[in-house]
Amino acid sequence: MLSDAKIEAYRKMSQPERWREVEALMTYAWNQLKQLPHDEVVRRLARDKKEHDDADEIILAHLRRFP
Amino acid sequence: MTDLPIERVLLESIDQIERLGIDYAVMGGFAARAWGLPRPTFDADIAIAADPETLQRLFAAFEEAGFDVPPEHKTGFLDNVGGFQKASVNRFADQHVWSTDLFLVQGAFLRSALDRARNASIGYQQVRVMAPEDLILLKLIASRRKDLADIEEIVTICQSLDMPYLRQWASKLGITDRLVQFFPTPPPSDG
Repeated sequence: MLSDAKIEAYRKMSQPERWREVEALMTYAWNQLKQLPHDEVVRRLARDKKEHDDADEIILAHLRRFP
Repeated sequence: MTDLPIERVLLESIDQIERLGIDYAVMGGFAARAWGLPRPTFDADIAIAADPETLQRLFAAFEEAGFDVPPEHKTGFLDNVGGFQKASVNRFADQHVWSTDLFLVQGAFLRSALDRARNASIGYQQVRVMAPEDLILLKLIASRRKDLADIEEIVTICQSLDMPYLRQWASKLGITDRLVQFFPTPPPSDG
């Protein structure tokens, strides 16, 4: 959990500056993930993708009901 | 150029879309990161407005750029997700296959969201990203724990949201009860 001060500092950044923070964190996460065995990386990415696809299905089915 | 394979794949996908002059908006995890707090995402989702002919030109452009386009897409068959059409193109990078999901814009809400997309930085590029209000509405529909966390973060970072727009579409989409969890309606003033 980020402290209020860190959130306030992040909020004050320009959007490109914020994206550099996003990129740094995502790069760290990807480098950590890559250290796992290849099969495990594939499994985790597939799980993430499945959860994401399930959410897309919920969203689009809902939008279909409210055209 | 970024070292992140999913970001590279997203930006290369946008290059192809922009070259053909197709209206688009990045949605999903990357859009949430553009307006909220940093968190990893491995999903590249883009809403596009394209007729079948333009879509075929786009698939050809993707293939030329080194993407793998499923053969059924090239014969006009797209995936059906919740009654909407979706196409996925894939790219091998960093020993893994990464997908860009392309959602064909249908219906009044997604058209509105496409029209309201804003420029934002992803990598070193300015790209069109779904506005925070539209992203909040989609996340209210999904309402998984991570979607609700995303909404909290977007609300924390984006100081000025278009509340009339949010309330209007929440009502049209039947999710006003979910919206008021985050934005309680102000009480009517006396007199």
